[in-house]
Amino acid sequence: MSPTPEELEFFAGQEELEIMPRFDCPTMWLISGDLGPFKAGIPNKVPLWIALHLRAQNKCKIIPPPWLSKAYLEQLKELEIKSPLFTKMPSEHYMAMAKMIFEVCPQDIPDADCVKLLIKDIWDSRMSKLRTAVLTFIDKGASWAKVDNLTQLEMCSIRPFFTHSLEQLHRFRKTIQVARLYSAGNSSEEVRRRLRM
Amino acid sequence: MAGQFERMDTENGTGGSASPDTFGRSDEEAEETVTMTPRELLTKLHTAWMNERLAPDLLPPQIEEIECMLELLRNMEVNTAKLEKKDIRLGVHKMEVDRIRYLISSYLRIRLAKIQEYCWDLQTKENTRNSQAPSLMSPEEQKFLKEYIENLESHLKNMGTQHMPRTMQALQPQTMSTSSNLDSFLFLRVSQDSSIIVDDADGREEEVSLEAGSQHIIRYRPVAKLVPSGSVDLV
Repeated sequence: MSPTPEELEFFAGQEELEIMPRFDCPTMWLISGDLGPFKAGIPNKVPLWIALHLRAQNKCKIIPPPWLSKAYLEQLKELEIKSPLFTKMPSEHYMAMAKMIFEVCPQDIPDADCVKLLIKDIWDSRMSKLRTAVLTFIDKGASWAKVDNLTQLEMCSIRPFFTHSLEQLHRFRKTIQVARLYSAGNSSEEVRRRLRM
Repeated sequence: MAGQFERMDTENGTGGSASPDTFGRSDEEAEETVTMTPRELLTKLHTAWMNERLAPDLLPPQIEEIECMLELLRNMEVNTAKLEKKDIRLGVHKMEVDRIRYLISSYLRIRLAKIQEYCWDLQTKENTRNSQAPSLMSPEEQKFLKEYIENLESHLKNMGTQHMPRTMQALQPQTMSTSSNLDSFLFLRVSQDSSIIVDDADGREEEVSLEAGSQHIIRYRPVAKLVPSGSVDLV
C-alpha cells in the first residue's frame, strides 16, 4: 500500500533547515541527535518538525532553505522544461516541505506567492513528463525501468494505478504464455518450470 | 534540575535510570550487533517502516531495534519529567517521543494487517519452516496469528458451517487462503551496487545492474531477497 500524503509529510519533517531563534536554550539531547545550544538571533539547524513547532509558538523565525526562493526556482523551472529527463530536485521532499512551511508561516518566505506558483509549475511539468514516461513504458512492454531523481510524492501520486496496471499486464502476458506452452503439448510441470511459477 | 537532564548519556541512550536487568540486556544486544547511535537506530526504523509498508509480503521483524528504541523512549520520558513546565525543551522532547511512538505503532500495525490478510499462508509457512531458520514473526506476532486463526475459524463455524449439511461442514483454509502477490511492481532505491536477473512474463531473462543511488521500478520477485539485506530500499 502506498504511503499517504500525511505519512510523507511525517518523513519530510526529518529534513533539516535553519531557524533564527528568539530564545536562549542550552543543547537539547534528542534521540535524533543533539541540537543547539540556541542563542537568540543566531541561526541554527533543526529538523523541520521542530522548526514548525517553535514557529507556531512564535519562538523563532524560519530561514527558508536556499532552494525555496524565486531566483533558484526560476532557474530550476527552466532546467526542468528544457531537460528531457527528470532533473535532480534540491530535496527529496521538496513539495511536502514547501507545503508544510507555507501552511505555518508564508510570511517568512520572500515572494511567497511567486514561489508557490513556481513550485506548482515545476510539479506540473514533472507530472506531465511522468505521464509520458508511463505511456512509453507500457507501450514498450518493458519489465523494469530506471526512475532516477523522481521524488517520493511523485511516485506516490502515480503508484496506485500505475503499479496495478503493470501487474494486470504482467498477468495477461503470463496467461498468454501459459496457454501457448500448453497448446504446444507441454506437461504442467514443464510449464511451471519454464515460467518459474 | 537542568544539570541532571544534560548529563543524560547520549552515546547509547541508556541513561542512569534503567533498571539493572534491562540495562544489562540492552548492553548485550549492543555487543552482539553493531553499536548504533540513537540517530542511526531511528533512521533504521524509518527505513523499516517504508519497506514494510511497500513490500507485498511480510519482512523479517526488527524486534531488537524496536526494543532498543522503546528503552530509549522510556529513559527519555523519565528524564523529561524532571524538566520545568515552561522549559522550551519539554515540548520538543515530548513531541519527539510521540513521533517515534507513532512510527513504531504504525509499523507494528502494518505488520498485523498483513498477518491478518495472509494468515493461513503465513501459518503454513510457519509450520513448514526449518527450525534453524528465523521466524518471519516475533513471538507476540506468532501468538496473534494463532489466536486470530482460532477466532476466525470458530466464527466461521458458529455463523456458517454448523448450519450446513453435515458433509459440507469442514473448513478448507487452502481454498480461502490468500498469499502476497510477489509479482507486484514497486519503486526502489539502491543503496549497494548489486546485480539481479529479471525474467519477464514470456520467460526471457535479462540481467540488470543496480547502481547505488539509482532508482528503479521493477517487479518485487527478482529483488525480494535484496530488501531484508538492506541492499535496496523501497520508496
